[in-house]
Amino acid sequence: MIAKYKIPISGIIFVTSLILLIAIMPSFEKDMKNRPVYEKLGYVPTGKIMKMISGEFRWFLGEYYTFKAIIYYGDLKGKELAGKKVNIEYYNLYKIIETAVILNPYHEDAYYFAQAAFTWDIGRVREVNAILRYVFQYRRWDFKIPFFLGFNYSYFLREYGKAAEYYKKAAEISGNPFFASLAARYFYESGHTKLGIIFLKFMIKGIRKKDLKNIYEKRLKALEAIYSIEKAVKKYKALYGRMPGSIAELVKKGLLKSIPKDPYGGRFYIDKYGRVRSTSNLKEKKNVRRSS
Amino acid sequence: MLEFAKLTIKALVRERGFFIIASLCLLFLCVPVFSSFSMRQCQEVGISMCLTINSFMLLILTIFSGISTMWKDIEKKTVYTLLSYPVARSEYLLGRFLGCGMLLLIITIFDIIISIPIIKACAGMYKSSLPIKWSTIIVAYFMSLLKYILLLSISFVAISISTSFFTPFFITIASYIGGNSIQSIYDYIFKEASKNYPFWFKKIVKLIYYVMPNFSSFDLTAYAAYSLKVNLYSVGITCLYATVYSTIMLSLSCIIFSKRDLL
Repeated sequence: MIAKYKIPISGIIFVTSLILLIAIMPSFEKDMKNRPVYEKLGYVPTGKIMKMISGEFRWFLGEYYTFKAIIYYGDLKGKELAGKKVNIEYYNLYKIIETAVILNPYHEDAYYFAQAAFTWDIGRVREVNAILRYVFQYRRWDFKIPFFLGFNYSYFLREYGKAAEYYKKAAEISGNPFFASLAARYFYESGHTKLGIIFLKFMIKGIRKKDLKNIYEKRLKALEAIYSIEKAVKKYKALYGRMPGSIAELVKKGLLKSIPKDPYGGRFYIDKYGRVRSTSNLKEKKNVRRSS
Repeated sequence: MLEFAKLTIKALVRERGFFIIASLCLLFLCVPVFSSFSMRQCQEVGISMCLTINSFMLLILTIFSGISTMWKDIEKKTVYTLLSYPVARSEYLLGRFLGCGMLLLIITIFDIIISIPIIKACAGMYKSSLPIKWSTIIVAYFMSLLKYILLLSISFVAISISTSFFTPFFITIASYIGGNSIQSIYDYIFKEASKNYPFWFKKIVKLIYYVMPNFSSFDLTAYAAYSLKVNLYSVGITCLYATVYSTIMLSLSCIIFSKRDLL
């Protein structure tokens, strides 16, 4: 005789709900993927308020927000490098890093990331400098901060007096006179490109994250290509006493092996002042929409 | 008093809630994963995260176990049985406090032991330019313990006043938030925006600053994570502050509890 087994109502509800959840999960996942990026990045209250209420958890929170920003940026930049259209919410990203720095000014990743994300692509150099100056009040032993400040003042803002001040500080802290000689060696003699290459190599060495490394390596390739053309232009000028008409002429005269490729998809050319330029302006092809 | 302390530890360890809190130790396993997200500071992130998990566990233990141990005695009327022994009420209260404090100490020591291999694993991921200062890390753990012992003493004042669970719970939470914010408020009013506030307002703020517990001074996370030099005078004065403040809170709770009508 088979005993009749009665399934309890709660069991039926449980199984039905489970099946329903499995059924709706793909749609839920798709919806989450399609949501605007700022929703994913989220809103973070100002650093001062967070610092006031979070107690000893502020240090970890600062690290958490920095990682959130790095993961978000690295993910989107990776897609951009793969040729996909992305919309990076730079304003929200900056606010998160600002909060992270107030919560934990000792955390190196925050200012490193700010330098990587907000200077080259969107030109928010003054804002990054404000972050660097704030962090430098705490990390007095860290020569990289005055080095970054010096670089920003010289390379982007062309304020050589301030740049020299910071390079001097970097030299004093690190005990490496190389930093002190940077201003003279690369601004007044060789121009900006070599300095950019030195800076990028320094940054790449210090980055563990592959996606962020790729961004810098791409820019380094572009600067190295420009630098090789600049050197050929200089040689041409010394040999023929005039500027070359085009990069092809440099190749023809044997001063350049071949016309270097712009990793940003543009084409290098020499402008009327003899400077090497690219049609891409060393920016990703119309993939980035900047937010204010 | 020691008997009550032993009883408290035994009772708390037997509770299901304690196992849930103790299982938070599993969070330590997430530390290397989380610190691997760092570009250059795996070691520093590992240290600060270990200290954060320890603080979080102590906070939960202080709020829930600390309050529940006394509240349960009163709620289940076991307090009458316990007080029927020839002991003073204050001895019972201090015994309970000592038991809770000992449990916090055991958890802290346990967390220190767990965090040693965890921090070493994090440091192995990427060579930091900073050394690991174990002495500072251990001091940071014990300063955190002191902070929660102080919070526990405040929660005992609240328990000695109230019969419900929620009043001491909210008083403890409010003291915790207030104690974390008071230094920032003080700095803002007396340094950043000093000119914007009248004299009498500053006096009131100063009074509140003296009365409220100040938890900011117990936080040595940054010192431990970034190998900063610890000022021994600051550590000493903070320990003294914690001892004096806790003694005031405990004596106050003993006075209130001795005069309280438990019927």
